[in-house]
Amino acid sequence: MYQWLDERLDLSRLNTKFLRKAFPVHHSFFLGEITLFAFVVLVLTGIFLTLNYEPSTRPVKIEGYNDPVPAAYASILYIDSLPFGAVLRSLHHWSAHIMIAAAFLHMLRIHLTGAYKKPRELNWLIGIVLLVLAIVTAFTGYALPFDNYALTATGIGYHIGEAAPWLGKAMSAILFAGELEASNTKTIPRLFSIHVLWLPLLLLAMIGAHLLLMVKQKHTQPKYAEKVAPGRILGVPAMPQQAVMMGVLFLVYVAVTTFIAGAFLAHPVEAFGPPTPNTPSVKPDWYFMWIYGILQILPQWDLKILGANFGPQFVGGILVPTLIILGAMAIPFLEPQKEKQRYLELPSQHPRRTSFVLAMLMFYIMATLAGYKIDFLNANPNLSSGTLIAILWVLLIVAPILTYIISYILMKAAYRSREVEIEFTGRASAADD
Amino acid sequence: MADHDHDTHAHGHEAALEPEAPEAHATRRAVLQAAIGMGAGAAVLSTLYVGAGLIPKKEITPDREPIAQGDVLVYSQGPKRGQPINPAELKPGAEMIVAYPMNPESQVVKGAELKNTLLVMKLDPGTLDAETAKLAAEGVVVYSGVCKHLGCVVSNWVADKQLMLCPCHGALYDPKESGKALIVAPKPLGQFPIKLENNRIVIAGEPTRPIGVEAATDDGIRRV
Amino acid sequence: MYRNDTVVPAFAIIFAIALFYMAYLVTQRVAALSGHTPAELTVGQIGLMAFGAVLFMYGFIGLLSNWLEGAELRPGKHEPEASSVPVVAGVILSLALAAASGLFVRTLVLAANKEAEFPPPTWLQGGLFAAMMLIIALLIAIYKKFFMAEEVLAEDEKGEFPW
Repeated sequence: MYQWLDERLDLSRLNTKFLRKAFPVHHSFFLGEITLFAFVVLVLTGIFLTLNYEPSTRPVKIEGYNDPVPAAYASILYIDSLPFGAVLRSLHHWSAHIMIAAAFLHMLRIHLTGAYKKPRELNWLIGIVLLVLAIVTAFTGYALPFDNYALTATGIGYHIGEAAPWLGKAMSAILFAGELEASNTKTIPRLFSIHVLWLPLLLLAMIGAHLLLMVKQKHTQPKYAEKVAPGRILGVPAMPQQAVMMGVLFLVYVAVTTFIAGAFLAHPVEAFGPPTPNTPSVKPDWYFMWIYGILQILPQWDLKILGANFGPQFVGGILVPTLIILGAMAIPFLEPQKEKQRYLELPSQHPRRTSFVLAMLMFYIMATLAGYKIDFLNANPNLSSGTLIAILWVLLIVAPILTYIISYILMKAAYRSREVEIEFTGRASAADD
Repeated sequence: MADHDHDTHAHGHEAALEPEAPEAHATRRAVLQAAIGMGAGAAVLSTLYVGAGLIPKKEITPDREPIAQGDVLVYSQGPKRGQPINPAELKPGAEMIVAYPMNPESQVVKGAELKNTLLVMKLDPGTLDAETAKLAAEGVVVYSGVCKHLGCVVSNWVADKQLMLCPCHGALYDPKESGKALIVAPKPLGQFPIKLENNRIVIAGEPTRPIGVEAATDDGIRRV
Repeated sequence: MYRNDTVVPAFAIIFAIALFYMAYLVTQRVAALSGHTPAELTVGQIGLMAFGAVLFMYGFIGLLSNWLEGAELRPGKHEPEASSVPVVAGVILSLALAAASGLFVRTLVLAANKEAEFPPPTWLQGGLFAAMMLIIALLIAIYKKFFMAEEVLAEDEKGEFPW
């Protein structure tokens, strides 16, 4: 069999040229793979969902409801009634969250170890685009179950998009096929096409480019490889060893996420019910919560320039995220270097960068905390809204700065003691893990 | 095992191990491979069962119930859609009507099920053979509308030859001879016994053949 | 981070457990505030659990990688050491896998039957499938550890592939 194929396809050449590519081994490389497998599982479970989902709001009569419900909502109930259907839908939902979380942690790892430096600036940019695309794709899937909760949550994003100056209204109208409301029959087919076809295709193309560049530019190897095989790529062959490890990780991914998906059914549409005039108490998902938090504490002023409104929706929902994304994109270009980056940098040896990453994390956490403003007010009736906003502003600004200072001082102190140790023993100890 | 340096072993096993016969190793490997193959095979097969959820359950609604004795024939299309067919309005040999049965009590037209499609036509009673005439009433004959070949609706009427034509593959049936299949189709169409009551056509019993596609057997049918 | 260590993955697992526990505490808090346990997870819980899940998977595969591939690679071919214990473990796991597969199909059949007296809960369906996948992962890991030769390459930086 192998020989038959080999004579026709020259498999042995494929083997020596591609399948024996050396993959360096380090646990931190698995974060990107987890993101990839989340995407694979999203596609697989998504196929199952599209086979049963009806992208339509036409009213249908179903058992258990006095009034007709939208067909999209009814088809979600049908999916939930299938054997394993509820678990697969929950798995799709969980995998979306996990893909974004894993991509975020993968990006943190790249940042902390300096793997974004020359020659990998392009892949850093592609990675940021991928993270944004993943979030947008998740958002376009929000409204598809067409329950009361999903519609309200999507509405918040719709109004933020509308707040973009000049183009916002047109862009929102294109994405949602007009106004977003329960009576608009065109919205669901539009979002469905974007969510299951165009954004996944775009993601697929970008992931392909991301991987291709990674293969071309090689991993940033763990530092010990410099001693073992200087100037060479120390690693295991793609086939069979790396493939086996990837297979094991994929199975572990499916095992962990299916367990969570089965035990905790995410987004129970039955509990939310079909769209009604009553607004449920919604919160944006955790990856939007920091934007929502900033929106919650921004003052309510409005600025008119050249016929466009620059309100808090624009500043909190568009300006701040855009600035943060642009800032992240600029990172590799702020520290230009002549040499190629070949090895992972130890976070402990770059206290300024590491402290910056920790400070940014603290910023996200504090902005997320601000997203719970209403809950804080409800829990403490004595607290005035103005005082709480002031406290949250102080937290948002001061906490990251304090984090930076403390972690910088601690790392400097720890690192100086290590430098002394290196002077004494003449070699780095294993403690830099 | 012996010819590489244990100090640089990736797994860091320093202890010298008993030298082992290669055959024993091969046997162990084969046993483990077989076990993993069996287990993984069972897992894959059981996972495929998830696909069984893609087979929708058929729901029997009132408009999908099978044709029953006493059902009234109604127009399936056109301006009189859903109204009972008046046999007095039919002209002999002129046309064929695609009809649905209607439950006389609930007034539900059973048109959601393709197999319920019926063909109604009035012919000159003198041209019918004895078998056909027995089930007909005043020259009105009723056949199942589902082609025996591949299940299309036999919707066309060849007026000059007085034959029923299926547009899919050109199957021809003769309504004068118990729906005999002339070409393409392997079996004759089933004829329904009927009676005429209050200017209505009413199903009076079971069809002469089961409804729907039937496999061909060597019963002398000419096929193209 | 200097080598393929166990410290970071182990810490990731501890952190994952802490995040899951935080998510659980959020439930308690919500229940205390509203007087009942809500049917759905809050967005905060989903976020904590998503990060918990990623860190758990990362820690698990990190420790597994350390066990299977070692902390540091050395060029050359390394044969695995022989032992019959992994064969016994593998056969037992395979039997458990076959049993779990059968049970999984059984729960699906029961779930498809609307008149069933005790329809299997989704946690059982998901749990059985998760167990199957985990067992296959462990079987492959055992096979790799004890029956696959480890090969380490020191490839030239300028490879032929992809260009």
